[in-house]
Amino acid sequence: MSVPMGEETVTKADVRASAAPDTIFVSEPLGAGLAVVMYDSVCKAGGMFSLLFPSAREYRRTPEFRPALFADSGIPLLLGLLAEIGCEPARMRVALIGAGTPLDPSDTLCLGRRNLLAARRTLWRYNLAPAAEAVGGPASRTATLEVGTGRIIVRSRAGESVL
Amino acid sequence: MIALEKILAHVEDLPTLPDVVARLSTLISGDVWSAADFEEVVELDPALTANLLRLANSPYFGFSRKITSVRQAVTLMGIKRVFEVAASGAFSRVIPPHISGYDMQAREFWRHSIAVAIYSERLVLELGLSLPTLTFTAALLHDVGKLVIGAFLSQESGAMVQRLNAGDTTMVEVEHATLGTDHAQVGALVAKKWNLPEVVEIANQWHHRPNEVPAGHQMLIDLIHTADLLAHSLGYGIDCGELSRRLDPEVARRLTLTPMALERVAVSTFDQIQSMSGMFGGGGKKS
Repeated sequence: MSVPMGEETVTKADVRASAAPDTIFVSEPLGAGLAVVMYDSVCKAGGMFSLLFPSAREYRRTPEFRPALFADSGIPLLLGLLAEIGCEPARMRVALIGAGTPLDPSDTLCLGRRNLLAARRTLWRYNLAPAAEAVGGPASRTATLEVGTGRIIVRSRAGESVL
Repeated sequence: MIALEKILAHVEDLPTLPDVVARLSTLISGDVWSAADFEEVVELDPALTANLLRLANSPYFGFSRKITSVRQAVTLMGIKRVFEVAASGAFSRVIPPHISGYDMQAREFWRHSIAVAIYSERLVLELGLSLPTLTFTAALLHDVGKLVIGAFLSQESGAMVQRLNAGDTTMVEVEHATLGTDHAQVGALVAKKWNLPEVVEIANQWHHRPNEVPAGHQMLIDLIHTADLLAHSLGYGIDCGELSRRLDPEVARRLTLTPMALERVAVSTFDQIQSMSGMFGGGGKKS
């Protein structure tokens, strides 16, 4: 299968930003993970962060600690990358995609909901709030950001929508 | 509905694991064996030998010193562990490039299999349990039935997606409603056909029916059932069923699962899954 020019896969625990108009960021299927997408329409640049877990607090001192696995330690990384290419938080449009939940009435893992809450809470610390969300339910979505246009596309087995 | 006989006939068409794996399986089930016996069988298949050594030196199985021969692997890791590594290497070679019906590429299928195997073992540690025999292999091969029924599901994919989107039905329930059987039942037949240890057959048969497990295998099935849901939730092996899956509340009760215990398992194994996923792309043979 050929990949369109400029398309970059944002894998799990990956943070990417670009101001190149032909860049298209596409997440892997997110499951209960969450894609945080940010776009600054003035400098026409944006980025994507694909997180798996809510909080780094318990893991900071462990050998396997990776900041980009967690909402609270990864969102600052995305903001840092975007600042380097001229984006300003005040102009940023933020979207959250993913946080799926299995068909489990007791939701023993409770990961999607915790990821969503942790991402929202971290964004608030930077005076940011999501302008759009496609979250929850038994869907495993993928997120796409077209840097040239700022279009954010969500795909799952239920179909495709633009946020 | 597609006749069950047709599906079962397709089990015969599936590429087999190399004979070497069945011979090793027989070897480890006996009481008397030696490293030399094991080496003699493995080295009949040079590709398997190369895969075995590559995996044995991976961060997950790896030792601080480099393993350079099958005999050394048996001495350092023990015969059952080396069998598990050999079965992993052999399995990665028989996954077709695309698993139709599930709309899943070989790489994703392999990643899911690896994630379930690693999570099953790590859960044992997290929950302070004793590791059931051949957990890694049973968990790695728990979904082999998908390689058979995928072709039949692809003929019904529109109706399946409609059923899944309608709400509260799990993927395995949809398979059953569509075909009159499911990947778990068919997987048990595949395991038998491949002459794999009995635990692989049991893992396939019961991982979606964890409250009907034959005596002596409850913990193994509870681990695989949990690891399966965890892997899907983390996005390993997403197919058209997406998250239309369920963790049985009785399993959660038996294992005393908590969100933080499951999270610790997933966080601590992230790098190992990434590394093992990259070692083989799957898709070794055309379907």
